[in-house]
Amino acid sequence: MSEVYATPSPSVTGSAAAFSRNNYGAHAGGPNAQRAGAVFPGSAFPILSVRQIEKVFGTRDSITHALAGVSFDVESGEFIGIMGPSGSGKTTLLNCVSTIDKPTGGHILVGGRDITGLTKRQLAKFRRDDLGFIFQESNLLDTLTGYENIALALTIKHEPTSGIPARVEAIAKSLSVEGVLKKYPYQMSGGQRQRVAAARAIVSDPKLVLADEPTGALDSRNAQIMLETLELMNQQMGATIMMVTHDAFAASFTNRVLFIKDGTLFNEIRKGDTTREQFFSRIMEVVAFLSGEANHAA
Amino acid sequence: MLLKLAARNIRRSVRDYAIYFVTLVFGVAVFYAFNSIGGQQILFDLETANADMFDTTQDLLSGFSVVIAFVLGFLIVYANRFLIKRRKHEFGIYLTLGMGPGEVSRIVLYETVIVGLVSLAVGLVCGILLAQALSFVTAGLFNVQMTQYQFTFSGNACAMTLVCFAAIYVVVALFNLGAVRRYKLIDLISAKSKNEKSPVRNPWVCLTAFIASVGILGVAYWLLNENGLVMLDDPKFAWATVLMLVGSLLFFWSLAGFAIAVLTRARGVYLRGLAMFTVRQIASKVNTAFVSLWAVCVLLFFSITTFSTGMGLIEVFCGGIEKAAPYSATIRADVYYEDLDALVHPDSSEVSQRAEAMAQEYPDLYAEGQSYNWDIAAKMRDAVPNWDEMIATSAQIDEWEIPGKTYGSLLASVDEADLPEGLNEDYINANNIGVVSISQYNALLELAGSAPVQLADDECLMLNNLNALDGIVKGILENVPSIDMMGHDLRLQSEVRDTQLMNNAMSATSLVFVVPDYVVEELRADGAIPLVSYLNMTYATDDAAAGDEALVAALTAAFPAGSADALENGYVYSSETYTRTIWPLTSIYTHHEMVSQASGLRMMITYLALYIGFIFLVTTAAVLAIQQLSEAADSQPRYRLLAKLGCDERMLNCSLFVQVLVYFLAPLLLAACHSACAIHVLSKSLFDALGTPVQGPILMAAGFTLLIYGGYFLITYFASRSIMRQAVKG
Repeated sequence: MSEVYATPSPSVTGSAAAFSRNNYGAHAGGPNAQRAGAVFPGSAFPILSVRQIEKVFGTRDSITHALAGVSFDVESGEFIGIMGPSGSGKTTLLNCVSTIDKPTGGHILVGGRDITGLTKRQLAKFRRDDLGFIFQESNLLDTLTGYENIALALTIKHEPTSGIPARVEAIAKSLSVEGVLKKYPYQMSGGQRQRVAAARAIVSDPKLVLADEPTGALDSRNAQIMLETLELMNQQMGATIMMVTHDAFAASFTNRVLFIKDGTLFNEIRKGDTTREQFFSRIMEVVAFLSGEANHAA
Repeated sequence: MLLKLAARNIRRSVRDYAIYFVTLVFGVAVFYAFNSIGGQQILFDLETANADMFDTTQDLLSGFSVVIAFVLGFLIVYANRFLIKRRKHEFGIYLTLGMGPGEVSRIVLYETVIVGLVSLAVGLVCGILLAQALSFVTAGLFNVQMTQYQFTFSGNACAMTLVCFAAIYVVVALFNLGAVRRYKLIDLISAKSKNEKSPVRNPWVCLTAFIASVGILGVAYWLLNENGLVMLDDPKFAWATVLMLVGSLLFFWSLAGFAIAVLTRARGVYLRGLAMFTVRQIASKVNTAFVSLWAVCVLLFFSITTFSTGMGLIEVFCGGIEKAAPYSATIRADVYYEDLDALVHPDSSEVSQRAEAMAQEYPDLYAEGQSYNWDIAAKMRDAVPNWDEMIATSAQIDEWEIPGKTYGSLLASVDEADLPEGLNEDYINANNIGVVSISQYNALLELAGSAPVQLADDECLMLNNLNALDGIVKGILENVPSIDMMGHDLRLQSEVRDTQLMNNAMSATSLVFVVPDYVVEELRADGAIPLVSYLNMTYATDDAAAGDEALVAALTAAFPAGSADALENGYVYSSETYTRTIWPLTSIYTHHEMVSQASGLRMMITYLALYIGFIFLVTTAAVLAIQQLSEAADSQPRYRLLAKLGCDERMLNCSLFVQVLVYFLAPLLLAACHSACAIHVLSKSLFDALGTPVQGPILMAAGFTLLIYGGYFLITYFASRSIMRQAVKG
């Protein structure tokens, strides 16, 4: 792969900037949406602070701005959704936050600590200590049982072995997967697999749980159970969750949804005191607008 | 077009092919080199005996080449099937793109042919170079100077290599074509998503099976120990073999399940870092590949045992030859015996018993012997005109039996515990003790250039150089202060001497007593004849080969009666009549010939052991390497996931290292156990008896294994690591 990270030329940055910026005024972003250049809060850091991150792919001849200056904060205890059409940069954003990918510009702070400058080993340590992951598929190690898959998150942190069984069993019980602890992934249903993955993501009490299309491979019934599981993790266990999805129904389980389009933050809506149904229809409005615009452009 | 595609496929999957290719090259090179040994004769100034040895070695190696060709053929077919299987998805794409099955088969055929041709060419070049190196090894084994070095090329070996490998590649090509034809498109396309399930076995069944397998192996070891590995037609040996094979198979079948059952209960170990993952990875691989691990273990066992016992045998046959054949030549004369058993186990009850029998059966020979007083040299001077020109000095040893005085009577006072295990007591007990007169013994010492010994009239001296009898010697020394011989009470000197009484292939003086001359004179006066006589000689000439030739020619001329062949070959009992196989000449053992035969034998065994050992080792290591590399490729998604979850490179490397190590070690350790058992049994029944230390050969075998097997292990680890890194980065 010949992948050259070129510094963005001014003209490209300019045109990208011209696209965005809250031109869908009705639900214009809250105070946190655009805080580029703002002074970082002193004592009470947000769990996650994304500052003007950029990600540029491509060769000298064709440069793609996967992310063109995205900034937002996630407070402790939030359940935040990231939505956007395919190619909008939402997965790139998640990869940058999860340190699987490196942004070409900007900063990401987790608990006040800038993670963009860490070494490979520090990054690995950061991932196992501070993050929990749920992916769309190939989430579990197929050679390990459910129990072992969950325990793995603790053993790789070198937690004391004596406490591990109790913690695994407790988390499995609360996420209703205690029945599949002895099974191998291929013996479980898709929904069970995702809930075991959720248990693994949260068992080590990470600062932030990152979920990438966690319901993408599930049927609607199992998707609902999975989302309720995430909701439970957020509300009962106090997990901070950032979920990338293209599914408005999934997004309606969150407290706040960020919309990404063409590598920039396009909009942000909060659930506030509305019911999930109301929140869902507000999400749908934005989605409809985005796809309408897309059709228009085409 | 298809050819281009095939060539590109190979270039692209160089890493998959690399180990396979290197192993092929090794196989071809070694195959050629060892089959070309016969052609090295021209490099050396060899005499007939050694030239014969060259031919024998060559015949033996060629014979074994058939076995080797089968083993290599198995490896190549196996590796190919493996590589083909991994590419199901790719073939599926060819087929969906509209390629016919025939065309896909042709691509595979081209690939096989290209890899085959290139490896054959490279292998032959390496083989020719290796053969040059081997000629220096040959020179070392023979202790000879190379008369003139020249580049050797063996057309025969080359043709044989080409034919064997061509045949193997044809078989491979047929296999591949068959495999590709059988594929169905749907299987090919979904091949990638199918390899998730690995067999999971019930832990309790595994636990039981594992314990059973250990039990079976224990029984096999016990049977082998009982059998002693000497009597190979004993049903115990067959049972031991079958049980060892079955036990090993069951061992690998249950190993992973057993290990998991135990390890999951050891939380302190299991719940630490990537231990769980590592254990599960190994277990799933061992569970699916237990048959090949078993085959690898069996082949490893063969190669380790062949190599170390081969080297041990060299020690037995060749190690002590200088010490075992110290004289220029020995003429052995079996004075008289009724049958062979009576010669080896003399048990006359009357002093004159054998003399009377001889006088009756061969009255002329008896009379002749008596007239010469059984002095071989005196007889030779009369029979061979130029005797004194050929022979500078000689010393005769007559061994007499003391009728009615058995070894059993000596051992009666020895504690059972001091006697060596497995001693055939019935034989030893019934044998009459053998004695030699002090004057003959001192004459022999003088011939050998040693100082004479002093023996008082009431003393006797024990001679022994057979390590197997050390226990008995010690027992006698401690418990038997004096021995009654012919009514004389002779005090046993406390020192035991290890003089070799004649030329032999190995140490052969077993519990002979040196007595004052008057004891022998009394035997003679009572009408006894010696049991065996040896005339040890020093040639007048310094040219040992010429001395041999002159001696054999003179003796053949002097004693032509139907025993010319027997004389030339230096072996005994080949004549139909006993006329000239008893006194004065049964056989000749010359120092020069025995040493050169030992060198030939050393070459033969060394090359055979190296050849078999090397090919088996390389084959097994290559099978394991190919399996591990494909395992690493299959595990790429797992490593990617682990990296995402926050495992750093060190943790992953460590896990991978352990996986590859355990996978290589498991069959090696079991094979080492089997070999240890076999070698232990062999050394008890054979090597110890001959006083050959086996540590040296074992260390050599261990070093040899470590070098080749360890090399493959390291290459496999580094190649797997690069596959893993690619996954983590991607």
